[in-house]
Amino acid sequence: MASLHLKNNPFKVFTPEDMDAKDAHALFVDPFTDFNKIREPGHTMVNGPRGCGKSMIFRYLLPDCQCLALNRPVRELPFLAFLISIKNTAPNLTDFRRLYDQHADIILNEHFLTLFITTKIFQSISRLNIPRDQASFSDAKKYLDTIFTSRLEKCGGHVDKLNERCSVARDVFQHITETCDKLYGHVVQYVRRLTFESDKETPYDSALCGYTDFLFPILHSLKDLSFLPTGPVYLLIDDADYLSRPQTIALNSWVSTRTQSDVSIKISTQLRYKTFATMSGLPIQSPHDYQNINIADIYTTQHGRYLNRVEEIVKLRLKKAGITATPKEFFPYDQEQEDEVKKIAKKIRSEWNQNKRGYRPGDDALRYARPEYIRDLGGLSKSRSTYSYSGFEQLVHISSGLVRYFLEPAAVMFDEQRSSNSQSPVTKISPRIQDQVVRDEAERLMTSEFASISKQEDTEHVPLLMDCLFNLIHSLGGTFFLKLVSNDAERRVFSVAISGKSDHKIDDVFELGVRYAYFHSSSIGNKDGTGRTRLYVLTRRLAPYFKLDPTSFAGYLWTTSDILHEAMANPDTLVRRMKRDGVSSVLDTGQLTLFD
Amino acid sequence: MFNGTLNTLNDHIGREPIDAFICCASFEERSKSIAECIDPQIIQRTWIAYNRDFWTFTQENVEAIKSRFSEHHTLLELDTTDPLLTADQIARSLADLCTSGSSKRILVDITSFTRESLLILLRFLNDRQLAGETLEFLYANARDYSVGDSSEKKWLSKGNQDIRSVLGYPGILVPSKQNHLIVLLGFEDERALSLIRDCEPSRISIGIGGETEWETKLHHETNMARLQRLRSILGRVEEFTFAPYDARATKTTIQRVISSATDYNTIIAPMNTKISTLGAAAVALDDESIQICYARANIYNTKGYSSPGNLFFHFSLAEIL
Repeated sequence: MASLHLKNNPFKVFTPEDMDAKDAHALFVDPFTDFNKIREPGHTMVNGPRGCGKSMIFRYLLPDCQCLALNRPVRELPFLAFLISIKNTAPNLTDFRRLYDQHADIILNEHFLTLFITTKIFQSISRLNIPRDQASFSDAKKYLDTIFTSRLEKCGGHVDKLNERCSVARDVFQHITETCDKLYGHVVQYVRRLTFESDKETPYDSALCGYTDFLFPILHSLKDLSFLPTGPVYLLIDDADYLSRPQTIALNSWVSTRTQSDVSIKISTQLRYKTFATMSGLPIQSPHDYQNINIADIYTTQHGRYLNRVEEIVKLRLKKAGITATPKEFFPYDQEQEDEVKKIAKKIRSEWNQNKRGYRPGDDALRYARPEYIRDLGGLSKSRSTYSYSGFEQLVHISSGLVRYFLEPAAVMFDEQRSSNSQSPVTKISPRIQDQVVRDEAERLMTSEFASISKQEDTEHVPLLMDCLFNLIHSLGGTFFLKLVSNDAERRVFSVAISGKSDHKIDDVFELGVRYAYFHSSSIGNKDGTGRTRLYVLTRRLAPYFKLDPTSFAGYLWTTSDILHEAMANPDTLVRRMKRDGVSSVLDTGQLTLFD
Repeated sequence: MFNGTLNTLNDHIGREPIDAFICCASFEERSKSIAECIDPQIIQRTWIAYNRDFWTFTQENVEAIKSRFSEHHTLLELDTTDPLLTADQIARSLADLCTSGSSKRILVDITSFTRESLLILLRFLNDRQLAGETLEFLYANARDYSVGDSSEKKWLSKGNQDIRSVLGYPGILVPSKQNHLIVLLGFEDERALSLIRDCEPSRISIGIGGETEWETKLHHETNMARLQRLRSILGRVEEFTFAPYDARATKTTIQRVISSATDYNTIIAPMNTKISTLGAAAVALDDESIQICYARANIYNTKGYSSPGNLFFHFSLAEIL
C-alpha cells in the first residue's frame, strides 16, 4: 500500500483498500456514533450509493488502522476484520454463466467465492505484524497441519508440504495463500474450458469448499493463534452487488447460519444487491438475520452533521497537503453576491413589521433573501445563470450527502486553479472556478451521466422507467424553480411527499432514482397523522441545472400520484400549467419543516 | 499504416481462394465497405454476422451484403446483451469450418463487429485453429467519426450498461494480487471513467493514440483534454501512447506496460479501434493469466457514428501472435 500524494491535489479520491494505515487513520473522520452496529458483532448490511464512505469505514476497521486508533497490538484488538473487495471482474466471471441452471452452479460458485475470500484472509494475516519467534511459527505450523490442511483435504483439496526454509509464522500464511491461489486458478481454468457450448460436458474433479465445512471452521480456529485476537472475525464484503446471483445466494446462506458471535459478515452494497434468497430457498431478513444500515439516509436528512463531517475531512486533507487555509477560506464565496444577499436580508428584516410571515425577522431574512436574489437576477437581466454556486457551504449542500460528490469536483477545481495560477501555489479556489465546475457537473449529470445509466439493467421495462425518471426529474426541477421565484411563503423546496396512495410504477421510478442517487429517500408522518409516508429529495447536485438554491433544505411539497404520473409522462405540460396557475394551486402543498 | 485504397483490395489480397469470409453488418455504412469491394468469385462461403438487438438499424446493411454474396452465405445471429449466445452461435455456425477439409484461408472483416464479439470469434478460431490454416483480418477505415460534430464534441457511444470479463478471456486474477487495469482510450472518456470506477484497480495505465500515429494526430488535442480530465479525477495514472492501427505494435506496447508492473493481475480494457483490440487479444492469447474486460455501451451514435473512408488494412493472425 502506497502513501498518498495529496500535495499534488488534496481532493483526489483514492480507493481506501490501497491506502496505508497511517493515511487511512489520518483521513478518517469517525462516524461511529452513527455506526455502532457496524463495529459491533453481528451480521450487517451497509447500503449506500457509491461515494458515501462505505469502503472507508471498512478500511478503518482493518487491524492496522484499529491498532493505530486504539493504540494496541493486534492480539489485543476486540475483533479481527478482513476486507474482501468484490469487483465486476472477479470473482464474478462471465464464463461462470455457462453453469447457470446446471446442478453444480451454486456449489461451484460457493467454492470459488470461498477460495477468493480465504486467499484474501490469509494474505491479510501474512501482512500483519506477527512476532518472528519460534513460538509463533510453531503455532502457525500447528494451525496449518491440524486445521487448514485437515479441512481442505476433507473438501477434496491438497496442501503441498511447507518448504523447509520457512521459519516464521508469516511464511506459513503465505503458503496457505499460495495454496488457495492455486485452487482458485484451477476453477478459472475449468470454466475457461466451458467457453463454447460443445465443451459443456467437461467434468469438474477438484476440491469443493463451502462455508460450514471449510471457511467457518478455519476462521473459528484463528482465535487459537497466540498472536491474533480472541474476539470475533469480521468478514467485510465490500460492494457485494458485483457478485453474481449464485454467489450472492451462497453469501446469503452464510448470513443465515447465525455464526455472528464467532464470524460476523458485514456486507456493503450500492443498493443493487441481486437477491436475498438463500440455498434453502428462504430469504434472509432484517433484523432477524442481519442489521440493515442505510448510510445515505443518515447524512442526507441531517445536514448539520454532514456539513461538520465534510469540514473535518477537508481540513484533514488540506493539512496533509500542507495548506493552512480553513475549508471556508479555501472555498470562498462570491463576495459581491453575498453582499447583495445580505442587503436583501437587511431590507426584509427592516420591513418585517409590515410584511412579516415568520415568527422572527431573522427567519424571514434566511428564508427569502436568497430566493429573492435569484428571482431578481432573472427579473432584471434574464441571466439567472450568473448566480454563483460557490463557497464551502454551498458546495457541501450541492454534494447532497455523499462525500465523493464533494471531493471529485473539488479535485477538478484544484487542477483548474493550478493551471490558472501558473507558477504560484494554490491557496484557494476562485468562486468563478467553483461555479464553473459544479455547473459542468450538473449538466453532465442530466446528459451523459443519465444516458450512461439509462439502460444499466437487463430487464426490458427499465429503459421505460428511466424515461419516466428523466421526465420526473425535469418536472420536479421545474416545479422547485417556479416555487423558488414565487411569492409563496415557503419557496425553498427540494423534496416531495405523496399524499394518498402511491402505486408500483411511481415506487419503481423513485427507486431507480434513489439507486442512481438522483433522489434520496426518507420518511415523514403522513397528512392524516396515522402513519408515515416516503419523502423523496432531489439531489442538490442538480441545483445549478435547474437554477435552484442548493441551501434549500427547509420545505417539501405534498403531491398526489395523479400529478406524479403526469410529471412522468408530460413534464412540459405540467410545468407550463404550474407557471400559469401557480404551483400551489396545482399541487397539494404542505409547509412542515423537514428537519424539525 | 494502411495497406491501400479499397479499389486495390482484390489485387492486394490476391486470387488465392478464400474458404471463409466472415463479416458483420452493423448500423454503419462502413460495415459494407469491404464486402462491396471484395470479389465474391474467390470466396467459397460467407458468414454475415449481425446483432439481433440492433436489427432495426442493421437490417438494410444485412440485406445489401446478402445480395452481394447470393446463395453462398450464412447468417450469423449475435446479441450484444448475451455473450453466451454469441459464443454458441459462433461455435454452431462455424463448426463445419473447423472440422472438415485441410488447410483453409479464413478472412475476417473486423470493421463492424463489437469488440466483445470480435474477441469471442477470435478465441473460437484460435482455439480450433487447424494446421496450415491462415486467419487474416481486414479493416476498413472511417473518413470521419461522429459525423458533423466538432472535435471536442465527438462521441461514438455513451454509458456502460454493464462491465464484464469477456467470455474466453477470464484471465487468472489471483486474489492475493492487486489489479492493474490497462485502458486503450478512444473517444469515450466518460465510459472509461465509469469502467475504472467500477473496477477500482490499484494501478491504472491509460493509453492514447500517439501523436505521430496515422490519423490519431487529428484528435490528439481532444485526446489530451480527455486524458487530463481523467487525471484530475483519478490521481495516479500511468500514461502511454500506442498505435491504434497497428495490432502488432499495440501488442508490444501493452506487453511493455505489463512488464512494468509484474506483481499485479492484469486486466485490459480495449476501447479504441478494432485493430488495437486484436493487439490486446494477442496479449491475452499469449498469456492466459490476463483478463480482457468489456464495457457494453448504453447507446451508440447510430445516426452519425462514422462515414466510410476508402482505405483498408490487412494483416494475419500469425503476424500478431
